[in-house]
Amino acid sequence: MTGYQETLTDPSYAGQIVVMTAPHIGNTGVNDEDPESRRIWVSGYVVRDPSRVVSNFRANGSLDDDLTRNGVVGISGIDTRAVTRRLRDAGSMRAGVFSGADASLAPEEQLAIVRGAAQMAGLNLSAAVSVQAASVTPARGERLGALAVLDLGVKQATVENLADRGFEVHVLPQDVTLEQLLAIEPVAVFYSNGPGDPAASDDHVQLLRGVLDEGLPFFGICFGNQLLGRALGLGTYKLPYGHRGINQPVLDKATGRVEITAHNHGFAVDAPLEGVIESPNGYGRLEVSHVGLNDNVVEGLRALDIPAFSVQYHPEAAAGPHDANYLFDRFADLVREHSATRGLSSPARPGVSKPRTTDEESN
Amino acid sequence: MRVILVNPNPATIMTDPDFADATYIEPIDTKHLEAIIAKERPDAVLPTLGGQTALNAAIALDEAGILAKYDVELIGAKVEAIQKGEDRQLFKELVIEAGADVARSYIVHTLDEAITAADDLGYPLVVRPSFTMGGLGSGFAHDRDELVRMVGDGLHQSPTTEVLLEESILGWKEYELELMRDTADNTVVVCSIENVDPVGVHTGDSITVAPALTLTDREYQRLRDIGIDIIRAVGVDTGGCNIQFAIEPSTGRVIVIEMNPRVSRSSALASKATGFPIAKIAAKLAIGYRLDEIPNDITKVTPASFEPTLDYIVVKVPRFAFEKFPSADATLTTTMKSVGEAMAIGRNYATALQKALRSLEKRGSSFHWGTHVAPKSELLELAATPTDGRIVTVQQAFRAGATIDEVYAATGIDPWFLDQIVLINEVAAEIASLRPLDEALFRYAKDHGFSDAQIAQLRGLTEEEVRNLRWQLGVRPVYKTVDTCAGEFPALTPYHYSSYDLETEVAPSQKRKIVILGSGPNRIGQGVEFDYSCVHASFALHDAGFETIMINCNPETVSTDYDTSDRLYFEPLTLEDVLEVIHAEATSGELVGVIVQLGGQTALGLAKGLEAAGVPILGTSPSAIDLAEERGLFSGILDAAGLIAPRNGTAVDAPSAVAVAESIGYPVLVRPSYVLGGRGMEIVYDTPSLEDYFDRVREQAIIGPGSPLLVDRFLDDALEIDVDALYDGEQLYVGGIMEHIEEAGVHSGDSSCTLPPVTLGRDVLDRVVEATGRIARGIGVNGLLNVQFAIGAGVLYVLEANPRASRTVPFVSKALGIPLAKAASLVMSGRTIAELIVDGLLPAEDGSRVPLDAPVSVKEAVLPFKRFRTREGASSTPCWGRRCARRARSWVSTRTSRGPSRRARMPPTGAFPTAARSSCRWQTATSAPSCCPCCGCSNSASTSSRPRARPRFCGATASGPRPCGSSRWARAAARTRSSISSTPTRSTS
Repeated sequence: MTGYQETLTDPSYAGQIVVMTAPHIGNTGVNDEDPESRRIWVSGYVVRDPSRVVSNFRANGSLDDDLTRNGVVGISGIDTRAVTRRLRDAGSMRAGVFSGADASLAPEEQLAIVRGAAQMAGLNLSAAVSVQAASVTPARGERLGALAVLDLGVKQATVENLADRGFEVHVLPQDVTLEQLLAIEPVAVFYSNGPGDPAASDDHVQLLRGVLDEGLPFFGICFGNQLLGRALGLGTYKLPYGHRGINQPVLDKATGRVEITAHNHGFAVDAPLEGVIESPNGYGRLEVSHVGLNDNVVEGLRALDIPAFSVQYHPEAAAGPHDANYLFDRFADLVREHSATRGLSSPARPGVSKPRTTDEESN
Repeated sequence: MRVILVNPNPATIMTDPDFADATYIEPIDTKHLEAIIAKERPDAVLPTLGGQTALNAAIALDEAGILAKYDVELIGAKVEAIQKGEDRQLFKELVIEAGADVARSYIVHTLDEAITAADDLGYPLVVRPSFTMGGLGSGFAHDRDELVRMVGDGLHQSPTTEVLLEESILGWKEYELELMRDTADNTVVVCSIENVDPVGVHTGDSITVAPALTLTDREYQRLRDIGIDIIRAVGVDTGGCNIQFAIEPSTGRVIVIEMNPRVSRSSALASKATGFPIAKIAAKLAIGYRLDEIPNDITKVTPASFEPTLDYIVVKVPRFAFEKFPSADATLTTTMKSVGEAMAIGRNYATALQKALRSLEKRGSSFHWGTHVAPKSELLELAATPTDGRIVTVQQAFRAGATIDEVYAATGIDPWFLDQIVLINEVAAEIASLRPLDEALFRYAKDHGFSDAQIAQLRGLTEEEVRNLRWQLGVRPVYKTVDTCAGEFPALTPYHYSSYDLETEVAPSQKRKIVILGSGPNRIGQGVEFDYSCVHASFALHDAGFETIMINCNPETVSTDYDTSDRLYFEPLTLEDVLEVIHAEATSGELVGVIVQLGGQTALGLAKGLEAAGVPILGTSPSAIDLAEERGLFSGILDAAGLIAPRNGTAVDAPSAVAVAESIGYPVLVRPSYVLGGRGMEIVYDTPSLEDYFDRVREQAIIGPGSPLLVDRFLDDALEIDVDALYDGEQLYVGGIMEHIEEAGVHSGDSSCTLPPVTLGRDVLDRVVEATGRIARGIGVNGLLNVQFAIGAGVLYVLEANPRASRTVPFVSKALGIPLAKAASLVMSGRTIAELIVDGLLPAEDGSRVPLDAPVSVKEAVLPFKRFRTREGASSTPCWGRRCARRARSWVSTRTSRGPSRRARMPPTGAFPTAARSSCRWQTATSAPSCCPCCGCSNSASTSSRPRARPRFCGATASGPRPCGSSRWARAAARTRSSISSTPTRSTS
């Protein structure tokens, strides 16, 4: 019911029309701290009651102005609950918001325009949202080393969380090669959330397999979870009811604890919820670590023989509750442990040097 | 699992025999609880669902070593956690540990300490006694005099003689979170609530909205993080917890105000607002379930370990009763003063707010656009002080040209909420414009919550004309569902609210449907007793195969639990809103009719309008209801039945009233027609007082040609008898005959009574039953009937007859085991009393002749006078009159009649002004000599029965209200000695 500014600037929503179920949107205006990326990504915005005034001590602009500045069309006065119920039953679908002269087109013509648009399934949107050039955020506190973040639509809160854990965060364009990635001498690799169909992202899967072959610790969220699933040899599928919003209960199977988490995914990894299975791609044993309690969907994967794990939801939670924030700690711990193990085997050049050499050879 | 319930409140559904394995109608104090524990030997005690009363009782049991002695576990919250939450100092340390902030404060135990602390904190500052409920005794002290008075009082109210003084955060934004935690440390936030009135008004007295509307996600998540840290640090093992926050609007500084480690008033509201049943789930968590093991009641397929999301706005508005306490200070402070509340759900804030305001059923509570607008400066000054109806003052101030900045400066209400009122005024201007009243304009008005009545006012039409026009244009509401998940999953529970959106979610049904109208917001004179009857009717009709449909707007009731009826509509009880629900239901199945006689005056008041609109009314017909209400018609019935009423007449203005009074002789009892709970009812002793009465009630506009004033000769030396009965057109079935312990003149809702009567002979009872039967036949009752009689000098007078559920139905039902409301609802649906006896629903013997060895039940009212202080701080007049001033009641049943009254007088919590109660009796504020210091009594004597000093009560220093030594009291006491003690009893002595 809060967090519209974060949602609008979340690259995962690129190319989509977003319908808000909360009726009042825009009450707290917009500010400079809350955007999750450099711009608004949604293609259209549907709300019931947009605010006429801005009321918040941090606000320095109105949502309306922000949408206008970004050239994003919004529509209000809609029975958003009726739309939501349609989407629940029929799944996400193509849609159009018509304004100006197009608004007076006949419904059939409008429908034809919508039907002429591309489907989300099979769409690779990573190039559209990713940065063109790498950027670096310095580590805060005790430095763990360089972290390669593949920008498939990364959010600012993710970068901040990683930097807070001592990573020097290198946000890399989505078309980076394995060589370019390894050139920054990362202690670990991170795949972000992002828009699109995981089945259409073969290049990112190949890159990830290269990373895993290197033996580098890996953490992925959302889209990154689906790509880890594919790299390990699992399939993905489109959910009948996509997971949206910031109130999704997820069970951490390791602790038995339930966390309330932020979700935004229409695809999921296909894996058995119980037990340990072998990676079809030869990465050893793996298991489902987190399960969505509303509909028993895979929400997290953990490899048992290589240092890699991922979750389908958003531990950075912007917007959303901070229950899953511990996952960033878990990642930092994994990297620390891994470095220590490597450190024992290769005291002269602890960290990444040895596996990288191996990988260069294997590739 | 064997469940044992302890509660002396007869008006609740929970004390029905069906609800627990054993129910003890006993005072909630250490002595009685120990006896129950000794007898039942329970494994555990659950104290977190019964409010502060239960929590305090649990602490007392623990301190007395009783829990240890009987090896009873406290579940839900440990004593340590309760103390951490309630003890100000412990809590403060814990909040700071959790990385949050608290207001600067001092704990004081004496007045001297308080004065020293105040020198540091500066004025104004907040005074809060520890361990009291509803903010009792707390408030703002603006100077040293106020400080001394409030701290003195607070030290008395606090069971630990401890008061917290705190830096003022007046004007900050106020929020609440409702959290739940399970044994596995899973914690969810069920609901966020934002107070429209800023800090300074108790949350129970504030207009509140859910979800919070003026927080960014960053700020909201910060509150959530703090809340979770606190619930963990306090150690609330399982169950619900409520945390209140204040946010400085210009900097965002967050302060934790307090937390309650239990289910609270706000939890009830949050449950209704979200569809997440907090209390029910808290009970399951207390016995060890985890949140993810409990299914979400509404979706059935998803677990309770989630956070509800709302695609609608909920607004709660308080209902006050300052008209009942004319001397009380109507300024809203941190001590709760409201007596009830209404909640409304809308697709936007403007709609929810307007629906909530009209749900209050109070004249002037809705926004209005009359021709007269007071000057801006006057309105702004008025709005600066929080009082009942401030929101309407704000609306008028905008009409008078005030800007949002000006109103914000005066009230501290967030500009977003203020803009919504500006918006409502803009829509009103559009409605009032020359634009044709077409579909588009109707939809624009309706989407901002305008009622037909408001549109009528703006267009100069009648409400009926507006409604007909609207219907012709096909503008009708649709009904959306409260589903906990904003449409993410299909909802199986039909819990609806109206909106003027596109799509309706009312499912068609094959069953025959009956609509039950609830009783609206609690108020003095109309409380949960009526809800009890509505709920019983719903259960009985459901069992009889009907689909039951409840309409109500009171979040404090069982009837608005979504699982009480087959369908629940959370809607205002106005003719427009009810007609629309009936239309929606009638078009989706077969509607048998509407039950109006169980919801008190609220529902009854709609009967005529519904009938005129062609809606079938089940039970006593509206014209028969009129027979009882309309004085002239009723006299005819009495004449035909050979019964007499006190001499009486009717009047529409002061001169005619004086003429009537002089012809029948003073004292006279005056009351307006069609009101409940004795509003505007007074005993008048002479002509000047009668004229004064007209002056005082003029503003309420309750007397006019359509509703004349009833003037009765007041029987000042009589005994009152109350009868609840059932009539099916042929057979009378007496539910019970109650004898009032006070003389006639104390409102039946405020008086104590015994069942069966203890001083009335069989011959009198036979006359009463016979008379009740004749009245039932004369009126043409179908369903329930309540008759009040008086006996004076051997003559039986009929005071009034009400063909509806009465306040005493739950008491009678429980005392004698006769399910009156259930039977009544079935009679209304066409069954006969004889059939119900054959079915075993009704006992073969009715309540007219209770066996001599039957238990005696005594009902005693619980009175809230100490909450209604005058501006100087004295308790408002604790004198008894015809006006009902009670809020709750306790009840005791036993086999001897001396015991029960003593126990009934032991209030469930706190100290009640029982000394005043025993002495003031039937004196009234009108013109009879007043009888205690707070209403100017000249004849007072100190009482020695109050062991603890009560500083500053009535401006006196020694003790509470004093008996006035009236001779009539002496007689009354002597006459009723068999059932009450003439020495005031107190529980805290």
